[in-house]
Amino acid sequence: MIDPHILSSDMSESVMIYGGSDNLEKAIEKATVDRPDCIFIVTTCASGIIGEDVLSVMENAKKKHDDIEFHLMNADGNISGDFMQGVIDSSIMVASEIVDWASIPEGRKVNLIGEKNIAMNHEHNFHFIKGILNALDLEVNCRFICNTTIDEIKGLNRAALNILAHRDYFGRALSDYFVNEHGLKFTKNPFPIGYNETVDLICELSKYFSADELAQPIISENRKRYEEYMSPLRGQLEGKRIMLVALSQSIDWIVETAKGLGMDIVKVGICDYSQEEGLASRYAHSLPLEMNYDPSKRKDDILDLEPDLVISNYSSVGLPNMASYSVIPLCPDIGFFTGVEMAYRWKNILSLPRTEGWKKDAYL
Amino acid sequence: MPTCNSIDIAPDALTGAIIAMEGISDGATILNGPTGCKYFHGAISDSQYPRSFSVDPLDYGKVHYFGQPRVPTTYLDSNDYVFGSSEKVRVLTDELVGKYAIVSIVNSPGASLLAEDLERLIDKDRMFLIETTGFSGSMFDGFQNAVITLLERFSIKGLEEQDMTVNLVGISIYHKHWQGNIEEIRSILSKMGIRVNAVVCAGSSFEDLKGVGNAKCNIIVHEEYGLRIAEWLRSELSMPFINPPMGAPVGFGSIESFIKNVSSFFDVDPNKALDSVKDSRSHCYGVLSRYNSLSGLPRGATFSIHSDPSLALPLFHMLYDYLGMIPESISLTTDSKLSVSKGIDSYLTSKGLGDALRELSGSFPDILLSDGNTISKHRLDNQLVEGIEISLPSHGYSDVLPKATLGIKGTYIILEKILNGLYRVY
Repeated sequence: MIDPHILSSDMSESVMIYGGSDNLEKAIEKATVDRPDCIFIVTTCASGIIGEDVLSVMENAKKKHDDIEFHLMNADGNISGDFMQGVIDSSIMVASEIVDWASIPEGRKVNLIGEKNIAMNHEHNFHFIKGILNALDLEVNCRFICNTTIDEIKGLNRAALNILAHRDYFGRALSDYFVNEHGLKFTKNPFPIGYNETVDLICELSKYFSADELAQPIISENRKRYEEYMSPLRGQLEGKRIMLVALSQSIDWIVETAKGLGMDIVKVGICDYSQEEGLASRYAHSLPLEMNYDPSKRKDDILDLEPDLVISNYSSVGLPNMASYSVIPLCPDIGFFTGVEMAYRWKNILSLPRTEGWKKDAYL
Repeated sequence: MPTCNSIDIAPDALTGAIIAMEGISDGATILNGPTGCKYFHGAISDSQYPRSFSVDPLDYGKVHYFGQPRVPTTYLDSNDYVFGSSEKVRVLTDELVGKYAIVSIVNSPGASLLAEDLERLIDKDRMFLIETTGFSGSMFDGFQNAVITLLERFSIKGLEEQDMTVNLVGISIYHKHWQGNIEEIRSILSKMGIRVNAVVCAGSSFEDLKGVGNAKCNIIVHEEYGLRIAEWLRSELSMPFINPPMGAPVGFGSIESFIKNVSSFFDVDPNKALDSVKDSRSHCYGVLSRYNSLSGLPRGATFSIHSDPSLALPLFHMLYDYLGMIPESISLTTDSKLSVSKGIDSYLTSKGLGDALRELSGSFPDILLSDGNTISKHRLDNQLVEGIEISLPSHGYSDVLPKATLGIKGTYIILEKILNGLYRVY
């Protein structure tokens, strides 16, 4: 990711008038020097607006370099949509043009679909899932599309089952495509955040692949460790009032941790965030929940509800110093201990004075 | 002369134009373009020149801001390519005009192709439109074109020049530690009794920019960002300029050269300024003497530079002439025919070091002076290298101590990093 293999056709003012096929041909020739397996051509706004005939240039290149695959992503910059639409369109183009759909599922192989390439923890999360799969005698077939190869993508259909990394807008668009167009099977559970979700995924996988005898030791061992981690926290967090303001609608790992520690959840405000599927909490009926929460209400709610701890995806300045504040990641680390690890941070934060010194200097 | 080995991901003219406008202390910039062109510029403007304490996206939830405090956008989509973006522009200008001294509207490349008549929306005293920044131009071109267009429109002609004043041109908020750099140059100039009138599009107010003609002359800080601006000011406002022949003032030799050039122009006594450099040389002598006694270093250690020419030239002199280090490779971010580029070429050739004028790829220096991306990339091949960031993009180190890349402070910081880096390498 440090120096992406991205070449530009260097469109200039004259290209806008006379067209840029020559520039594109030169850029393609430059890209072929190292004989990559595949070259993707992506169009920008300017290319789309002037109606550049990129397809013809690509077809000519295909004839000239028959050992290299060429694929065209007609993004036309923003004309076809925003950033996320580009990610979705490109992924679907890759799936439809590169995957060998004639291949058939074989053995105990699983695909991981829709990992977030730009999240800092995507490799950490991958290694956790891989560890779980290996413990269940399963194998990762293809990471679509994250640190993968053209060969892996071609063999995507060899997997018996697919796990969605995140059930967000991107993940749902991909799974809808794979299910509706190619009949792929997905687990009900995506990458798991927190103890319960992790157990759910392991149970689902073990049931599908008949690996119950392998799953139970994993679950029981981690249940024991989970309890060992939670137990010392209860004395310090039980009865503490906690308020949650979140962009993410995947909140159960937080709720189950807070409830498991005997904390008093005084408010859950879910902000309107277009990337999310909608709240699907198993605790929704028992929470003081406000959907489409207006963040400007935070101050008044804090003054009114007097929480000990306010947790949100981002910390903001200017909120009352009667509470302590902590941040939850938009893309948490996955696994059994996401919640309990976060709770150790809550404990530490609550052990401190409400406001640290630098915050008192705001008036300066 | 080898140029940037990551040229395809180097900032371009659109970035240069936005960075120029965001450098006006009481200005705001509207990007008439898609969100894809917005995020980097919003982030880099806010991080380089913060105007607010919060980066909580919930505090910037209004539709044009997309969670960022700077560079609101019209988020052009396919509909706007048919029906135009005027209404979106109008909503934003209604919000911003009056709150800011100057509101700049910068068209993205796609928006510029629409050739929409946005001038009709412009309040010509308080707004400013950059219809096109070019399509594949360099950041240096984009920055200078934007500044010149702004000055063409707003700089006041016929002002009475104030003696012993200068403008600094060719420095932007995209330069690493730009505020510290300006303070360092101010400090050097003040020792010669010279005051800075305006720092053009890097922290000065709109009013100061209008009064750019008040200064006696312009000093170019980074030639690639400032030569054309200085030439324009000479042509249109009859203002002379100083283009320091040793590049930006970093490293004692270059700082002394800078002082002598400026003092000569103003016919003032340079000794107070030169004495301060002498004091710094004396201080560093003590450090280097002890360091060298134990290790023999930094003499004989190797270095590479990949940077803008205005930094490469003085840093080369610092490492080669002052520290006795050996150049592995020197490569530049632009092949423009600048005097600093020619200076590097001719000096290396005169020393029999012409072979060092090559790309970083394939060289294995002990010390690499460059931007964060280049350093990271190089470390994949050369894990022992000590990378010293002198330009953006950055690895994201949070600076608390106010720092500089230029001046005495910049020289100290770079020297300190070289010495400690070499101890790790050797």
